[in-house]
Amino acid sequence: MKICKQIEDWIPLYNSGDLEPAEKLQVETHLAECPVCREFNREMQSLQNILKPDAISIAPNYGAALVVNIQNRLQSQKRRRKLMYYLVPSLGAAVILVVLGLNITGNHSLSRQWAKNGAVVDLYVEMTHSGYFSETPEIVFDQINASENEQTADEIQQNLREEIIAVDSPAPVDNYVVATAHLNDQDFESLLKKVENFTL
Amino acid sequence: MPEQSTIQSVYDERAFNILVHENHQRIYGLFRRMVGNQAEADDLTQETFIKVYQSLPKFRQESSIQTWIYRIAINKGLNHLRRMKIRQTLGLEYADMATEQSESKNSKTGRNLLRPAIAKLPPRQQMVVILRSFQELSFKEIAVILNMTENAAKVNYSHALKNLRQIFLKMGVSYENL
Repeated sequence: MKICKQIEDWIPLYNSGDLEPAEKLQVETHLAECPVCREFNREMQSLQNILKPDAISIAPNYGAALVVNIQNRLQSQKRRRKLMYYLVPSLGAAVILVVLGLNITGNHSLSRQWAKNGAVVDLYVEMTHSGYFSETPEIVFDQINASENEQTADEIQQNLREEIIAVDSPAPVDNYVVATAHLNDQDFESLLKKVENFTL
Repeated sequence: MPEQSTIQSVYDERAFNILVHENHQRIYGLFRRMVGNQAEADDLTQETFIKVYQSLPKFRQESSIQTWIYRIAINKGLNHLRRMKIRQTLGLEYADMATEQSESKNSKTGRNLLRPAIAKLPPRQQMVVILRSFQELSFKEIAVILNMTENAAKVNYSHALKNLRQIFLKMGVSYENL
């Protein structure tokens, strides 16, 4: 059975011509003797036969249109930054409230709900320690850095939850993407399951 | 006589436009195979080249520029796939994904179910399958782009295909219909 598992791992690479000669010989020798692996090979060949490039049609002027769209978006980003730079000091609190309001309604603010779940607290801790600390609300960032050596894990969790709820920072879905970018696929799927199993 | 900074910026813009023209088909093809939807693929392509434009001053020429652009595209792609999974977890499913899945259930042939099946793989395995099978890159190239060893790329590919086989079995696809 152990040899069958190894051969199964090699069969996709055997079919795509990516095995070393010695491995290729082992696969061919084993296939001649093992009907189970032969059947597996047939199934894998059928699958690999449909995994072939299909033609993607691209309009002849797509490249030119793409360049124009990119330049427009870059200009738009520059204009938005300039607008915030000049508008916020001049219109003050009113603009800030409108922008925050739009941010919250447009970006599915979830921090209040998620703060009750340890998963979002873990995310903010990870973000603080990874390269994405600029995405952490400042008050939460300060709390994590100040308290880690002085409080127990439970105390930190409790305090962070209170801070996150108090800040009520809009947490667009993208922040969670950024925060989880450093996780491997397995850890990412585990975190999603933790969130899924959380009930309010 | 234009200032040096103006001349430099016109030259940079021209150089960037050439980069876009030389690489856009490959990058757009990658995203079309990944998301299927034309509008999303277009958006991701634009975001990739915007990132390229913003990061060009930091390009250290440790790899070819094509590989570097691919890496930026893959990061965008992986983030997009994770964003979709998070949105599904939160119950914020994309309407077009739901439509596509209900359409493909009408015909249980392998080709029709291929994209939904690939979408069920972990994001990194999806990338390896797309880069190897559809973009036809070698494992050596895939390893450089995904920052892994060549052997790891091969192992990922093998596991991805075995997982795809299981996914098809669960979907009730018979291998005679592939």
